[in-house]
Amino acid sequence: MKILIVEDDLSLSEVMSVYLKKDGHTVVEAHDFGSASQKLDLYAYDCILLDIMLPGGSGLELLSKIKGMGSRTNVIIISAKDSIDDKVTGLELGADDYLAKPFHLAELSARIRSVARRSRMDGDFSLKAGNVTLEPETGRVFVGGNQVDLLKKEFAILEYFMHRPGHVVDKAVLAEAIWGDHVDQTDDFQFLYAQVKNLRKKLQEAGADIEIRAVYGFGYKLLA
Amino acid sequence: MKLLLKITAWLAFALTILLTGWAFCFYMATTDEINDETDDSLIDYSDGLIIRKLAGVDLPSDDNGTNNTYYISEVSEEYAMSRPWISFEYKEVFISAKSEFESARVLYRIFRDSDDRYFELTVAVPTFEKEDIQRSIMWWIVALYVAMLLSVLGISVLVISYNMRPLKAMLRWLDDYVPGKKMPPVPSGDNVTEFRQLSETISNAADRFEVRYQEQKRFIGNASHELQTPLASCSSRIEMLLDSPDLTEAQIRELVKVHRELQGLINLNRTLLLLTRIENGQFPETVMVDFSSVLKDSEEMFSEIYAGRGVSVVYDVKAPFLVRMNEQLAAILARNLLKNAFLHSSAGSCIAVRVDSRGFSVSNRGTEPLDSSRIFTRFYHSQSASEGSTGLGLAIVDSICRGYGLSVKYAFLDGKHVFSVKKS
Repeated sequence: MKILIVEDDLSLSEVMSVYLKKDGHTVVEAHDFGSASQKLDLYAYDCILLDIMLPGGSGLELLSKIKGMGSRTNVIIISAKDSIDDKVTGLELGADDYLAKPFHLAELSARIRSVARRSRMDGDFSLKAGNVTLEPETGRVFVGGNQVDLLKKEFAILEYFMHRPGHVVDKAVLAEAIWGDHVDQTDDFQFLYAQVKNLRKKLQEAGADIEIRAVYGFGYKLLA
Repeated sequence: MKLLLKITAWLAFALTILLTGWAFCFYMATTDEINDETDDSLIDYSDGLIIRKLAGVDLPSDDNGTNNTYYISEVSEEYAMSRPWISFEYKEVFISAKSEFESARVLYRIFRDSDDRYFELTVAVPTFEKEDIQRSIMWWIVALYVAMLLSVLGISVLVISYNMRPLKAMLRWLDDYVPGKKMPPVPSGDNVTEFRQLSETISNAADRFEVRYQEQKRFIGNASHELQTPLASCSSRIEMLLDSPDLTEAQIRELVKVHRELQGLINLNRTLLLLTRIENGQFPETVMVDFSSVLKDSEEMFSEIYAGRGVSVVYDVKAPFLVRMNEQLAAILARNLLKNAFLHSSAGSCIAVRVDSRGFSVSNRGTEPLDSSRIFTRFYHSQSASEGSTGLGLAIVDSICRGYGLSVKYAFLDGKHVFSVKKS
């Protein structure tokens, strides 16, 4: 995918760029309103990561411009202002998603894939890894074509992993993603271990060829 | 000490000094005048006696209706020369007419007859008792003093309290003043210059406080916002590094520790922003929230997370507690209180949740009371606080409650920490 990062913080822009390139995307950076506007006039992008507060203008202005051009480009707003007003304004202007800073790179990558999938319009929103297929909309999971019954939390965990195949996932981050930010970092994570254990067992019994591997006791990695 | 009392005390002190001085002068002037009159009459009387004596006329008898007594004795020339011609003194004299000793003014006159014989005439007239005069003057002074004091006191109270009304109004205004709260204008100082100045000074000071307060609030918000981007950048870099295949286990462990610390910082920052947004009223949408169901939802989540601790929750819902407020904030309020109870409960203990139409309470067993004056302030950490705690949870609870006219109170009852939220 061809991605434009519009972010005035050079360091953050660079790290996003490197990460997304590793994910196999083509990445272009713009650090202010002027250059972003220019790039948008000249080239087409599949996805734009847009910061709202920019030197020289507002990201929301750029957003109206993009949507005004009738472009079907996906826009994900990335803002330090995690306020509902901004979120609502952004989404009303036609942004596809809103990610508040600070975010996890894996989350960003997952959101990019998610909006891209949604815009493909072919109706296939399912996630695939090995012989496992997960349908986020219907809440069903298939292993080699056979449906596997998962509990709500197990499903959420598997979905989280399948958005990030091959990436190391910190258990604290995973717990926060599934149970909300009320999970303390000092908690013992027994609740998480139990869920992951059940999930693994169910996948194994169904004959899945993917593996949720523990990484040195601090997290997991989905291996397809 | 009240200003009124202080002014009156000083007036009383000044009046005491003044009236004492005045009493002394009055006494001196009165006695002088009486002496003067007495002396004049003694001189006149003695003149008559001397003329009669020199003329060889009979002298009047002692008991002639006046209280005067006199006697004439012949004295030597030396004695006569050593004495002044006329002298006065006070003396206790036996008045034959009254057959008793009385204080008297006594006149001594030396005179010479045509035979060059010297005589001394002594005339005594009973006069006032010094003690009597002093006592009566003292009594009058005291009476006058008391009367003056009472009237001065009364007048001062009336005059001062009437004129100090603007000051009282300003004090009341200052009492009500809370930075960030909408206040009526500072009461004017009427047409008294000093009060007008005071009023202006208060008004200016309050304006300055207000600006500082807003600046500080903005600063916290801005600082937290500005931190978001670098935090995102740092966290992302570590995540990227964690994905690289050539890291050793030891390196990953260290990186994960750094990442967790960073997440703690991110959480703290996010919570501070939340607090700022609550205080700035940035959660305007409200619905009717039933706390019994909100509490139940949160409890289910925490029971799952803290399943390992074996903490049980007992519900006592007498009636639903309904409040019109922001749904998100209601959930945060319930979660923060419940989470606190879960975190600070020992394994196997019990948390009690009570709900009625006036409010709800969450209680858990504890060993010693917490500092109730500081528990709702930012960054309060109890000794048993877990490492990852931001110390902002209860500050947020307090802030949400204040925003919706609820009151949150802490009490330590029968070995239990009880947090209760009520409509105030």
